[in-house]
Amino acid sequence: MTNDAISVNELLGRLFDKPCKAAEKKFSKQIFKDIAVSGRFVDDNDNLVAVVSADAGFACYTGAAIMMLPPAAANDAKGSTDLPEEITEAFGEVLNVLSRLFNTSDRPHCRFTTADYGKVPDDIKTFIKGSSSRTSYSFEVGGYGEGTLTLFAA
Amino acid sequence: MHAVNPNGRRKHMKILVVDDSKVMRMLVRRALRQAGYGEAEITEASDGEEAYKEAIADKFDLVMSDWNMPNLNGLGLLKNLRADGFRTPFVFVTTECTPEMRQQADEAGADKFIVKPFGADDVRFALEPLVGVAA
Repeated sequence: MTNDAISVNELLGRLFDKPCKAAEKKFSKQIFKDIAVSGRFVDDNDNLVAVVSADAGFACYTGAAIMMLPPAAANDAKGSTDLPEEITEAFGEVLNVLSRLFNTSDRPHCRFTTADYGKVPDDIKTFIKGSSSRTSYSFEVGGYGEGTLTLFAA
Repeated sequence: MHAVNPNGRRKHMKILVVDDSKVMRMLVRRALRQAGYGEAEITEASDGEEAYKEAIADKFDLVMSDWNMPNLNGLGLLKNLRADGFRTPFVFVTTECTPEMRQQADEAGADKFIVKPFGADDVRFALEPLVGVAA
């Protein structure tokens, strides 16, 4: 897994027409409480091999930045129970692009399939608990705000 | 063919953008605009089947297509078009670009790869040799 803040910043920074800043942060043991979205990444046999979790801030600020929604709309979405479809569609592209972090020469090929919004499904919880690699980042989208994403690999 | 000015600039272009993600089609449109192709007439298709129907019904100067799509994927679309004799420049816009994918694409007659995420410079760099400098 290419799991350094520079890679995350370079990768995601190209998605938005905004200055971005990624920094590695301490992994939170309370992570399940903060997860708003969990993205599933599977190998060529459809086995779950990686997960990206995001808090509401990361999902809303990145999704809104892609769609060029005003920051106020992103903050409204962040505070809502269900994320608006416009945000979730755009966030799907963020997750799709993040698959590149897992596709390194030392790992089997994987691709993003689906995202679960809200409560973390049991199989994702099990995967996260058993993951061999986990790295959290704070990620700031200029003009919008900051959120957290965490990469988990089998 | 659409006319090309003496300086290599296209007067008018028709581009077919193919992706099952509405958001990605919007991002491709945005990048085309930022790369100077904002005056191009853009048609969207959400999978290879829909794109194939569009491509044989109209004459495009360029096809920009995702690889992984339902119904008919990008490679299938390219193969179908080439089998029917369409030589329209074909650019893959994909998240991944493995050597195997590149080989398959080359053998099928693809012209370029643009890897997501991309910016206006990537689009300009890929398209200029194929369709000329933006008008």
